[in-house]
Amino acid sequence: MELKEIVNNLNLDVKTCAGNLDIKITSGYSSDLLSDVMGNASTGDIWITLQSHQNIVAVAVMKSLSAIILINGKEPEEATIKKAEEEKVTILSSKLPAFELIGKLYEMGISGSK
Amino acid sequence: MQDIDLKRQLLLLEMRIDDVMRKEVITVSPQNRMSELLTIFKKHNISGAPVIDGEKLVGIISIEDLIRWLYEGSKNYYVGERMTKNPTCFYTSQPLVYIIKIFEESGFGRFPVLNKSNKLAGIVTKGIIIKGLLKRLAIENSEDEIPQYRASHFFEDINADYKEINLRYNVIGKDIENAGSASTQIKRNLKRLGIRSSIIQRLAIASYEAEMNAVLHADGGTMEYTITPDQIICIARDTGPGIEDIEKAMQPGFSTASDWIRELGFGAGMGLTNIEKCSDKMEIDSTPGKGTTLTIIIRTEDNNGIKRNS
Amino acid sequence: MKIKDIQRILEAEVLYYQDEQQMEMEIRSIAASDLMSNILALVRVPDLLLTGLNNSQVINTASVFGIKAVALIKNDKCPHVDTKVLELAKEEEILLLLTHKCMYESCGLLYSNGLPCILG
Repeated sequence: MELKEIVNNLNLDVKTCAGNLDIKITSGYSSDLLSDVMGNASTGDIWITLQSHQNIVAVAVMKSLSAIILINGKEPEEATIKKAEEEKVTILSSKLPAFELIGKLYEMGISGSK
Repeated sequence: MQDIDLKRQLLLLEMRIDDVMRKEVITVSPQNRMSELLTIFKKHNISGAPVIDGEKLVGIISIEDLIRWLYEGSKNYYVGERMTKNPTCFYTSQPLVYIIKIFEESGFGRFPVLNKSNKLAGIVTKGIIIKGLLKRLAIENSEDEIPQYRASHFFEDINADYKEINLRYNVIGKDIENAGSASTQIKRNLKRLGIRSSIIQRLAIASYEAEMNAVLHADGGTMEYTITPDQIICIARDTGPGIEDIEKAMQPGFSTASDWIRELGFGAGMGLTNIEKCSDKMEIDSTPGKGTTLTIIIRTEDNNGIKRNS
Repeated sequence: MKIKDIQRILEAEVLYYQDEQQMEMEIRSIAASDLMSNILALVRVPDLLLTGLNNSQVINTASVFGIKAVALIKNDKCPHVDTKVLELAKEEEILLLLTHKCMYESCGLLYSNGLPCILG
């Protein structure tokens, strides 16, 4: 499924890299612990987290994640936005809490990390 | 001596009335004659007794009532006519700290203790309470300190304490395993005091966030709690790095947390916001390089949990 | 949904439960988060906390907030549960589950099994 479709269906705010919504998403991962994401997320996962500081960009780059969705309406910090634009990491934001957002993604066919 | 003081205060919270009460109770009937009372008191070496009608507690009669009766001419009265009717009672599950207050306020020397089905389960006097507390202290402290602590002062000190219970815990910096224990203990103690659970929850959350700050951002410190009949004050002191810009630190989401802290599930920048939300009043006093003192005040309602028989 | 249904769906191990009656506990809301302050900032107390965090602070958070059941997510970093966590759960009488499914999968499964969500 294209990221665009997810953005539209779930009413997500696009915070960075708005021109990069054509990428295909098939799987997701959720954690607020960066070391956990480093250890367990897979390439191409869309990452659901509450963490908004700039280190999330580094993690997304290193693990080649497809995009980051911040939950609970969380805004990325300024430094995070700047770094994400530099590194071409798409950051989205949802008003929903993790459980509900993941539930909806799951029902749309985005499976857990392989 | 301070350790003993603290221990005694904790005991007051922890121990229940049925931990100390005397279970073998000499009772009299309302149909007993006042003239029989002296013999009963003398025989059992007691200075008062609950009055039981069938299985129901109907009053309490003491040596003072007896003296008054003698003074008034020893007329042919029954106990039922001279007793104190519907006396204040305690329940077996109440914490000791309640009794202390009522002893002081009422001036009575003894109180009957009822079980859940309102039947007499025991009796307490000041002497019985002191004996019970000393016994427990002796079990928990084998040191020689106990005998030095004069029993006669025990009750006076407790009386001063009940108005204000002070508890203090040390918090060790960076000790993630034991962090939070002060807050979970205070939660338990407040529960024993019968404070409303919504108040306990607010205090516990605020206290826990403050404690975690002292553990994670500083090298530990102390958590002090003062419980009075109308409010709970929690003071978290640390000797950590201090807060550079308090206004900024108060903004939701603002955080100076290291990756280490984030990996432990903290540092989302919600700590102070949470504390403020839970408190009726919050004050931060911080000097960069020296440390931070956070004062949290939560108002409670006076709730002494005493039920009177009617 | 009952906690025992959640245990079945997540194929979870029961690490601590007080008694059979506690396994009948009704779960109407779940908070899924690894950040404890996020939990403590919630307006309502969830029936179940689902978290990938695996230290004593999980139980302390549940205890001070009044959450009666916790499901831990097992990951490579914490292949086994700290004994301190177990001790605390017992002390605080908090039902403790351990699932091998990741957070994403756990949320997805519970949501599609009809747990309506609500929190965190």
